[in-house]
Amino acid sequence: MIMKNGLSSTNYNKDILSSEKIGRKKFFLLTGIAALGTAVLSAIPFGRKVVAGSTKQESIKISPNPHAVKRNNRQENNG
Amino acid sequence: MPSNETTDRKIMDKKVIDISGEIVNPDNLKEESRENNNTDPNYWRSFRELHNDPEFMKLKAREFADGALDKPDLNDMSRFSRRKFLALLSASAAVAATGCSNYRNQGLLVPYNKKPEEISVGLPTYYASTCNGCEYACGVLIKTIEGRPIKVDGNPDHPVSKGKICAIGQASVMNLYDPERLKNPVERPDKINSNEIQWGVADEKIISQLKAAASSGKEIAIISNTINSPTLKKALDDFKTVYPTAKVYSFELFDESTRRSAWEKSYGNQNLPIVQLDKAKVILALESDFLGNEGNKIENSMMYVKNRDAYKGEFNRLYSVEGNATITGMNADYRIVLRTDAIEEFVYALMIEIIGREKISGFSTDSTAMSRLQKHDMTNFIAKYGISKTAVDHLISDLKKNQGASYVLAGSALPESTHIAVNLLNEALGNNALHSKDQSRISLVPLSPKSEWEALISSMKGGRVGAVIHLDSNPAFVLPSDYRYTEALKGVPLVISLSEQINESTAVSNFVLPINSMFESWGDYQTRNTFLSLQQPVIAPLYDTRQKEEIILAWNSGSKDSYNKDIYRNYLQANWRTTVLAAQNTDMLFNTAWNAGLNDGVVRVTTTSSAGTADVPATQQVFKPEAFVATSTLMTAGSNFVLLLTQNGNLGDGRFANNGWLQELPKPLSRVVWDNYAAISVQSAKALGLESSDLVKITSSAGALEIPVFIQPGVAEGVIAVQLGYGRSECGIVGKDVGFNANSLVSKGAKLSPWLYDNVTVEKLGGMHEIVSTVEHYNIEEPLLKDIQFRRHIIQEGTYLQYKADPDFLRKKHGDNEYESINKQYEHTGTKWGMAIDLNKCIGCGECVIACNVENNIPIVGKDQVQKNREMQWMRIDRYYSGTPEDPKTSFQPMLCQHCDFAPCENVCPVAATTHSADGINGMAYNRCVGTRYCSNNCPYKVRRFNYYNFRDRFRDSIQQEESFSLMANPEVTVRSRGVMEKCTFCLQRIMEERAHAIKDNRQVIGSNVKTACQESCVTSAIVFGDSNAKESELHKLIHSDLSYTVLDEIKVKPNITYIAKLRNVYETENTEAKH
Repeated sequence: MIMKNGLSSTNYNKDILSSEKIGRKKFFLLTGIAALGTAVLSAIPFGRKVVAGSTKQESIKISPNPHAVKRNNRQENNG
Repeated sequence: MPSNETTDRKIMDKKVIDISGEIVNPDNLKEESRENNNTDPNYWRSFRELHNDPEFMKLKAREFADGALDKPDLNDMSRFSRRKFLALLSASAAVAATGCSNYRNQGLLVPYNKKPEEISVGLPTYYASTCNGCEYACGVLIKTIEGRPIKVDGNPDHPVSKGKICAIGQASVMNLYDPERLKNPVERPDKINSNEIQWGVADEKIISQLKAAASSGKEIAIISNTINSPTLKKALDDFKTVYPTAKVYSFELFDESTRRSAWEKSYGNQNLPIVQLDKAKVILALESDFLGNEGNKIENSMMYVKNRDAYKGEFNRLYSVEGNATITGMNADYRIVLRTDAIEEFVYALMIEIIGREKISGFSTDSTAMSRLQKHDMTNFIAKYGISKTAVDHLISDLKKNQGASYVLAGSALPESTHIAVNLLNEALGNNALHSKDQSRISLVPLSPKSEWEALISSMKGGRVGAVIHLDSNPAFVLPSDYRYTEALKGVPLVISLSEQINESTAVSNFVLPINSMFESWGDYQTRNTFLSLQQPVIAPLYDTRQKEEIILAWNSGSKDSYNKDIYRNYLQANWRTTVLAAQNTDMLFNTAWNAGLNDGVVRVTTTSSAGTADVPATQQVFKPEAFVATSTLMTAGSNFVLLLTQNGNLGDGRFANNGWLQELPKPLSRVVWDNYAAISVQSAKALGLESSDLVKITSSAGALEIPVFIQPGVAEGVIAVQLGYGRSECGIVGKDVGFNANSLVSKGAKLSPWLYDNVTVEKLGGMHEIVSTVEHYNIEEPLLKDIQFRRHIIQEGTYLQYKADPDFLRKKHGDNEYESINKQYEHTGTKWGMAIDLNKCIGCGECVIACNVENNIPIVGKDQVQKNREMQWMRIDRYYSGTPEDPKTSFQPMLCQHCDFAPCENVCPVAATTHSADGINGMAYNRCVGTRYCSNNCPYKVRRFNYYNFRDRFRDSIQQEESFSLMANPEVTVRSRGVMEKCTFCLQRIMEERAHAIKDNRQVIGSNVKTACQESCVTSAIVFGDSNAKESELHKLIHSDLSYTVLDEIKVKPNITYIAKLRNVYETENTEAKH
């Protein structure tokens, strides 16, 4: 067992990606890949729509009926 | 017992020790309290509470029910370590940050680029319209915010409903936004697969097939529910002109056919009168749930409570004779439990007493009539059925004393012979004086009788029907199953369904055409001879739908290109130009009159004739005694069960099964949700060895059904009652397969009536179906010992005689409520909001609960969550029984946040999320709440509701997260998320609206201007809200009245909700249990 800086380096030579614990190297490696991937996706237009639900149907439009006659309050009437 | 104990009683090891130190058996307490001459009733809500079930007592003592606080199983948890999770979380956050664009630069956000003229941003707009949830067509006011309808209330200008609507009308806004509404026309050539189709193509195909059917002499059947629109009738008449073989059939699941046929035999016409119950001093309801599910319950309830006001000195007396347990019976002053098939015998026995012995009318000399009555005797009847002689004697005495001011109502389910007998009884008593002389019902298109349906079915099977059009109706589900309607449809080449939602009829149609909801439709309605009501669309159709009348007009034109979006509006106006407004004989310009009509929602007409059946004024209706003499059958009680099929006030005939609010509204007596059941008596259940939720098989002459039972106190022995409208097989995901379809028990050829069957057998099956009832939820803590010295007085009642003798009797009985508290009294010198609930007027219908749900964005949680006490309704109607399970008295009490001045929930919140405002509101800051639930634990009234989940995300595949559902939300009320406590806020948003108006008008806030949602919806006006400091207000008078009390006042929390004690109008001076 090689001691380095007082820490055990038993796992030092093991495959980084297969270890249970996320080491600092693995963390930054993954983060870097993710950042690169995001940058690629936002830069290159794949025509992908991400808004949930909008692929199913058009958004519902609310438009009041212009011929409807409103009251300003509950009690208003013509007697 | 230790001598230094100062408590009244002590409970040790499940034994109970009385104040005197004696060990007492809890099960004997009822007898003991009677022996000690204690007259306070013993209130109980369920059988487990009545029998002091140890498990139930444990449940009561605990805040949360079993399963509510289930801890997660650690073995099922992910093996993902916390460190790994946090590391990935931070990595994801970093990725998200790099991926985010500059969100600040979205441009200027404005509500509108071009604001529609009729919208004021942030202010609600009201539109008068008409509800078409049932045949009574109540007037409504639709509240919209920025064009979105969000609330429906009654139209105060409507002469019948007078500003009130039922739960179906209240919840109708959910039907508009239901994501499962039909959105596009669909063709189903093989009636199995569906292909979307354009309207023009659908019209073209249908028109050509209709023309072919008409030209080949084949019938075109149009099947509809009650048609009460004069203009729709005209459109159908035009249709019949274009397609001469067309015929219109109309039906209802509960169509009062026996009542109408009895009236025809008795009076020669089918013009049922309008009974002025508000003028009746005595009402006898024979299996008639006129306050619940029968007739126009809005009008009935309003008329009934008009004479239930102790302060005005007007108090009618209601007798109920019934086999089923209904809210009418449970609100009655005297209730006689009698099996339904014995009711006709009872009427005969009553008649011999009143007409025969007392000779109060001319019929006493009619020998043929009297000969039918002679063999009946009330004394023998009482002995035979074991009913209360006292109650019967009072009934006979009251009817005799109040001739012309009383009324006998026979339930719709009773057979024709019973109705004829009741007609004679009313006639003999002169009760026809209560028939309205200036108002009559209008029947534009009479409902089709059995003979017409049989002829249609025969024609369909014989291939003589070329097309069937379901005009917003569902005959495949509703018509009695022995018509075999769905099978007969196979012989029809063209079946078209015009519907808002999928149903059993659309499932067997070739074309399914989606129609507009009532919020998107023009219309007119006439139910009485003195007015018409208008319906106007408040929004353009949300989807590619059309109004059913527009579809008919397009077919009338014979061309697919004739449709335009104003086609029906123009047709409606043209009709009114020549009929309604022409008849007004006014010099107003048509447009002014038309707009006035739309503004009011109602147009009064002066004509007394209807376009439909010939009216015979009430004063000219003459009873034919030969109708009674000719009645050959007499319904008599058998030894087997009698089956009663009843209407469901929430779901109608099943058309609202997909409305989650209505499904989750507890039934008034059983408090069951999301199911129907067979209500059975305590005695019958014992005889069959049944418990609630056990499955039984009910077999009648009509068919058989397997359904769970529910032991319902107050049901007569030998009676089994089932509600219809459940068990929809073709429905949206909310209502599909909820409950049991009891329509298989409805027969067209029933001997008694389509809703009443004798000689029924009930057989216990092996399994069970869990029925969920909210009756034991949110128990207000009571002492284990229901003993004589210390009661919680949650329900305080008396009799009208007691009150008249001594208005202060309640204070003397229960002591006054002087508060002594260690809390410093805060003087509310300004507005102080409070509420009074008059228990004399509250009939327990539950309309207020639905109104609160709609106003405050209450989520639907589903049956499984209700089972865990997690229903989210802010209001509940507590239902207490007193007396015996076989013949209980019932007390209803709406319970909601009491907004206590010394609220125990406020002190214990660790983050001050619940605080008390200067005007007396106990408020909730949802974004402060961290979900400790300490407040709920401390609330003595159990009125707080916790969001264990984001129920919108959880119920039925997140249907409440669909875009259309979010449009339904009231924008003035926060939508709460998971982990947050919520409760009644006294409709703070409405208080804020009044404050804004007060500031704008430079005046003080006026308490009476604010109406809470529950108050506005309460049909009987039992709820009064306002400023308790305003001395002239109705609320102030109620709070300081003789009958006022607060619940749990002994714990000194000073609630701001005052209850007015219920008075029963009985002859006995003490409110004792009926003795048999």
